[in-house]
Amino acid sequence: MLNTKTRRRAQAAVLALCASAALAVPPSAALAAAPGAPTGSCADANYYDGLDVRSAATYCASALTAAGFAPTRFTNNDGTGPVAQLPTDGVFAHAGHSISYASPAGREVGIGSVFVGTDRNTITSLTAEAQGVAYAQGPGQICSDSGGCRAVTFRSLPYGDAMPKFGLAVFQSCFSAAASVDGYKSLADASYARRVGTSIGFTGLVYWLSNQPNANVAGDAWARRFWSDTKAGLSYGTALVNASNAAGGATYGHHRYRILRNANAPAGLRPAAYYTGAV
Amino acid sequence: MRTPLEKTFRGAAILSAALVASVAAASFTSGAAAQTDWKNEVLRSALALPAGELDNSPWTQVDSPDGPRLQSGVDGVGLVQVDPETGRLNEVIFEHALTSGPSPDVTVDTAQIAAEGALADLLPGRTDGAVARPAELIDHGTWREIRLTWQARSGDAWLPDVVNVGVNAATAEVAYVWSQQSPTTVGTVPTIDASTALANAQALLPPGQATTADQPELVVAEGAGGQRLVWQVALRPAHGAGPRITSSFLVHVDALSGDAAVHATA
Repeated sequence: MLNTKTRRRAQAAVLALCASAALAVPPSAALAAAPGAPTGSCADANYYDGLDVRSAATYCASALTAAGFAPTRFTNNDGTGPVAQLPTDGVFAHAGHSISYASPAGREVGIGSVFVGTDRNTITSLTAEAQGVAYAQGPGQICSDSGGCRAVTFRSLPYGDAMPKFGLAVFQSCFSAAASVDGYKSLADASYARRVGTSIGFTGLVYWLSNQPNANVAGDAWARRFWSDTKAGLSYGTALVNASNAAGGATYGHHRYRILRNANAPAGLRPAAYYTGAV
Repeated sequence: MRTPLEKTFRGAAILSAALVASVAAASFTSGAAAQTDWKNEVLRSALALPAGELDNSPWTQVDSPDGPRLQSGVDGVGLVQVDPETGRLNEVIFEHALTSGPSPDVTVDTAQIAAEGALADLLPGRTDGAVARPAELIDHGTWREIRLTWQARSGDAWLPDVVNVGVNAATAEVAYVWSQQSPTTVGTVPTIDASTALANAQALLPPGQATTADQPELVVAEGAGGQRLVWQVALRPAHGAGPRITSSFLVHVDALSGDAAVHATA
């Protein structure tokens, strides 16, 4: 038999069917974006080091379309396309690498969403705050698991000004919601501070199976489940628990997510709208 | 893959895998008529819900690390999943417990009592013989979780047989229960030791590239080619000053042959 607490919860559940509107049966058909509907940016890439996140944008775009947004998938693009679209976006989602700041003691925070570069030796990132924009520029080095290391130039693109109307921002990358270090805010914290409705990121490393898009564990499984649950009308909170379990529990780091919600922000993706912070 | 088997839940029903599969298939094609099927009975039994129509969303099939699952949302409770192969509940998320107020965190002992109570109700006997791994307090922003994990072990090897319970650290309510279970089909005694595995893993990276590595962990890993006994090593390339791209490699070193390969990339 159920223990007392579980029983009480289950009984209350039956009496309070309206309390979980987020679990209501969703429309089965995708909605066509209405004229003037908010756009959304869904970005992923196949990186130099075997980090292949290319299915994530498709999952994201499917969810946004069903919710009535007009999404664009950015796969293996540099950051200029998403930046150009940001003025009309209501949702921003990125899967891949972070560009990060690390303290001398090794504390690390993801401050930019990495895109591929305009050429092989330039890596672009979208960065929220002026301090991060200035830092994430200039010469650097990238290393692969087999091809050695090479020098590159980092170029950061500011996008913080477009954020306040985002209903949702998802940063599926390492340290994207880590605690601030030396004044550098994480992607999730920076967007939350700029009044994005809901910001989601991770406090540690998050893995994808190397060179295996569509895997049933790790990053691809997380993205597939998170966006399919979100598409189905589940709350972000439930979708995050379910997706972190689907990704394989603790092995691949997705259990260390953070969700930051501003006041009055919707608990889920529907309906397609800009977030204004108003009641 | 696991062997098809028969399961008894709470002594109420015995379902063959074939019957489970046929009913599961019917639920995808016959819509509302399938709402009274075995899955709903599993939920009623586990959640102690009264007889009658269950107010839940249609069942849909989703992928999981060890096979397909059937997923639904129960009004007032939250998301539920069942395993069509075993006929057992494998996940419940209690939607209302995913918010934390400013209350101080409960102790791990308190969380463990709550978790064990829920497991007794929802997955009785599931953690028998499993090893409790260290609890982890995770701040999710909108709620704080004390995450408890039980995992089966054979010798030094961790097996693909895990139960996680997330307890709301502010309220001590169980927020979710999740179970993943695959029978182990490979040997669990390595012929390569941990230090050799670490050296083989580090040899994958370019010469001279400094790295930091976690202590290797012996695991039975599942992949496209089936199960393997591997040493799992997380390698992080060292960086100098200035902007960097965060990266890390999760390396699997075959515990019998010593062959190393990057398994996952962050």
